[in-house]
Amino acid sequence: MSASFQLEKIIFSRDGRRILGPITHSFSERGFTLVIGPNGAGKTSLLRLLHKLQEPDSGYISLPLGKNGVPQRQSFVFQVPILLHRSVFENAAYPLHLSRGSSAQVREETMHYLEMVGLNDNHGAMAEDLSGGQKQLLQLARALITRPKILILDEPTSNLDGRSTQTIEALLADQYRIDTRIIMTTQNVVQARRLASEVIFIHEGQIVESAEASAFFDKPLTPQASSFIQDGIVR
Amino acid sequence: MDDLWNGLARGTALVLSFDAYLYEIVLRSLKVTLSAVLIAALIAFPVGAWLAVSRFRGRRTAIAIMNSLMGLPPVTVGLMVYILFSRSGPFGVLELLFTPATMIIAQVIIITPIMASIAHQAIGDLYASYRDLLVSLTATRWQTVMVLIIDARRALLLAGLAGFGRAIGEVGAILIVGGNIDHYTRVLTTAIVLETSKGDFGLALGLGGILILLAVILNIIIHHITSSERTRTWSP
Repeated sequence: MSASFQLEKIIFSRDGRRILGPITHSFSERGFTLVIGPNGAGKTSLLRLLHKLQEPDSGYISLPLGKNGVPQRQSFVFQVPILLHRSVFENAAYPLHLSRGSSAQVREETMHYLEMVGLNDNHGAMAEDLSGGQKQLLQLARALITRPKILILDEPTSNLDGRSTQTIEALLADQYRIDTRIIMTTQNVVQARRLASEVIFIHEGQIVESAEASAFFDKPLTPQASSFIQDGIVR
Repeated sequence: MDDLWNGLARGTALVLSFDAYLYEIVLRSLKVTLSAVLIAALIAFPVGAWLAVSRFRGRRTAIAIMNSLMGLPPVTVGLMVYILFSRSGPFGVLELLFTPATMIIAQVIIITPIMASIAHQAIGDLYASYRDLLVSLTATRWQTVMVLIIDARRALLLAGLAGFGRAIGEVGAILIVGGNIDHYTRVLTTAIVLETSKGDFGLALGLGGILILLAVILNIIIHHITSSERTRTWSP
């Protein structure tokens, strides 16, 4: 029984190539964790394993449990937005439709979350007609509408301009303030500095370093981490 | 060549004069075929969706069988249905042979594999893009199938139209099981066969013209649906 993610000798491969592992790691219970590392380091795979979008080849992941012993509610924000071929409103409301059907209250709640991400004026538009930044904001509204305890985001701002990135970062900071556990990947060291309370540095499928953010950025312990912090390249 | 022109003229006259016999046959054709499409949709769409989202032993074999059933020769289907529903057959007691009901059954057997295959393809593609989201939101199997069927509805409509196109022009099976009985099981295609063999090319061509007209209308609808689709970034 634990309130955090515990990874026990996790190995994950795809098409016979090992992507991750073996990894044994305990996540902290709280905080804003940034998982950083170069392309192909295994960041996305790690998040997908935490969210049970895929299963490891071997090893064990225990999910954070709430007070009642049930796994805490998670939401996932995909790097490339996955949106239903429906309106903005219906996309945001979909998680509530699955659990509670539709009602006036669901409608009201959905509009509240759309307003929060600034999409209330677009609620009738088709989701696929939104801009890249708006799509990501819609994903975020859909993720938040279930009031998750844990929010997992896979490079949510990787293709966005400065303004959209700023909006999303502000929303995430708000979530962190209300004690949502956030785990997010990024390749952007500057962004990691801005947001992280804790950093996990991954390279070639291994957790090379894991530390409190200020310690990690000021005094990285490994040469790989220090070169990645410096110019985003691991030497 | 004269036969053709005379026939076309008579056919056009028949169509324009709202000939009662002609319209009775057209109406019956539509009734039988639309019923078959509706029933086939109720079978084909859930089966297609299920094959798209389920992973079980023998799934590939099931898909291969479904795809090969698309090529079922209608005459053979007619023969099988005939034997099953003939007096000595297992369903003989139902006394359905030579009724519109057996014609519908034969058509359902012919078009269900086509519609299921198109549905499977479309829903499979959609599932590939929705899968991670649906797993993330812990949608149940039923909720998954429902969202896929609803969001793939345009493609499913196309599947229905494909089934309709095949069924309305089909003659081998329904001639065998329906018997081409006047005022009862005679439809467009079987009437054309009869009138041709009698040498009444006028009526045959009139009926043929209507069949072509139905096909054209069908194609216009398909074209309209697919072109309205193209303005979106997603495919059916």
